[in-house]
Amino acid sequence: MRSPASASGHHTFRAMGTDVTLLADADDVDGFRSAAERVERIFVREELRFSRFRPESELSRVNARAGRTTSVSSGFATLVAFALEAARRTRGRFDPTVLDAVMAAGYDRDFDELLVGARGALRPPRPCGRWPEVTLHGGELRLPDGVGLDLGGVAKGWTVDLAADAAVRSGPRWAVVNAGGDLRIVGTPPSPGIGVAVEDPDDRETEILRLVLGSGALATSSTTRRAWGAGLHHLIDPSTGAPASSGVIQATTWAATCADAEVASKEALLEGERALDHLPAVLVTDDGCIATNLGAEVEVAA
Amino acid sequence: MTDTPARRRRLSRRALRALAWVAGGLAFASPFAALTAAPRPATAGDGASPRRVIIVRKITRRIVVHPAPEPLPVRYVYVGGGSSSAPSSPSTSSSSSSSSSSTGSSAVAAAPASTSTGGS
Repeated sequence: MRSPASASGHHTFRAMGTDVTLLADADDVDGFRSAAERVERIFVREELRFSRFRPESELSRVNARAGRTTSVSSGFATLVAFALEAARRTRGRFDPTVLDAVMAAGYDRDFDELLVGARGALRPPRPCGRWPEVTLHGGELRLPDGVGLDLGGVAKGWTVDLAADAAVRSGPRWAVVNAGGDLRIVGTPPSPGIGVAVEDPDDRETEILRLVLGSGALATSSTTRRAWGAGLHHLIDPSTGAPASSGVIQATTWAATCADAEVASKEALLEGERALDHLPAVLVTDDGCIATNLGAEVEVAA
Repeated sequence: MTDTPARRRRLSRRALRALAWVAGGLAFASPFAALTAAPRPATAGDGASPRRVIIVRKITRRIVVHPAPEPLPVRYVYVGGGSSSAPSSPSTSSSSSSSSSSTGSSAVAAAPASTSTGGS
């Protein structure tokens, strides 16, 4: 197999609380540089729109006006429409209205602050599931009273999709944008594809499986990342309002777009191993098992 | 003729006093000598050889491959270490263990990982 990295360039920066990497064909140096600038600009723009930790963000403004109708930007409306449709499709397993439950579980500030022990008191979980009460007509959005949107993961996947599309429009023949494990390929990568290491949920330095990705997107959700105590993590089960505990501790899913892969990874994490009946995925369970329905790369070493 | 028994020699008063001092001194010093000769209990900072801390880390994973729902542009290559083989049928399983190193033997030629996914 050929290493796709041999003719590629890397550009890494920090956004949305994670490391973002652009990996792209770098034969055209100016094209790669232009792609890197566009990718960074898109992340800065979308973080300002969707961050719940920035009081000046559009999301914070919308959440502060719950119970009243708010005019939102077209980008914001598009993602909310996508999230509501995903909630319908997954029968509420993916729920964009889990903000109160996430905060009740202790994720009430930027994760870096949470890691050093700063957080408010925990509150008892309450079931979520009020997404059907959210109304969106054109650019007019209304949240029910007492409901807030948390678009963290899906906003990141959405931004990855926008950035990867923009990257290949800047010159590179192919590009991969990876934001903390949410990644998307656009264009035609070198055959047979891009090598993607799936990290061990208990040890980031260990690779448990390697995927060869020719197109589409991957997203990974894990209960061991963004965790701040025993059983306390950011992946909320909307049916209980408490952090999820399905027996699956990490779900890596494939979909055509990164926003879809992000929704699928949440769904698989909540559904457990039965998710393999309908979602292309690699699941790691709490008893040490890796379950996948992806095919094996069977090329024999020379 | 009768033999008269030899008269026993008596130590002088001075010699007796010296002997008593020596015996008393020995009696006094013997507990200290015993304590000095006995092995001392180990202490944290006594300069003895450093204690070794052994951390055993072993991650055991069992891979179960389910039938794929459809042909996809993503496939897996097992790299978790230990021995493994690519499944010949869509529903097989294999066991392996790995150390904390991310390298290991693989039955297939693995594309070098260019990027990674590990959750957020």
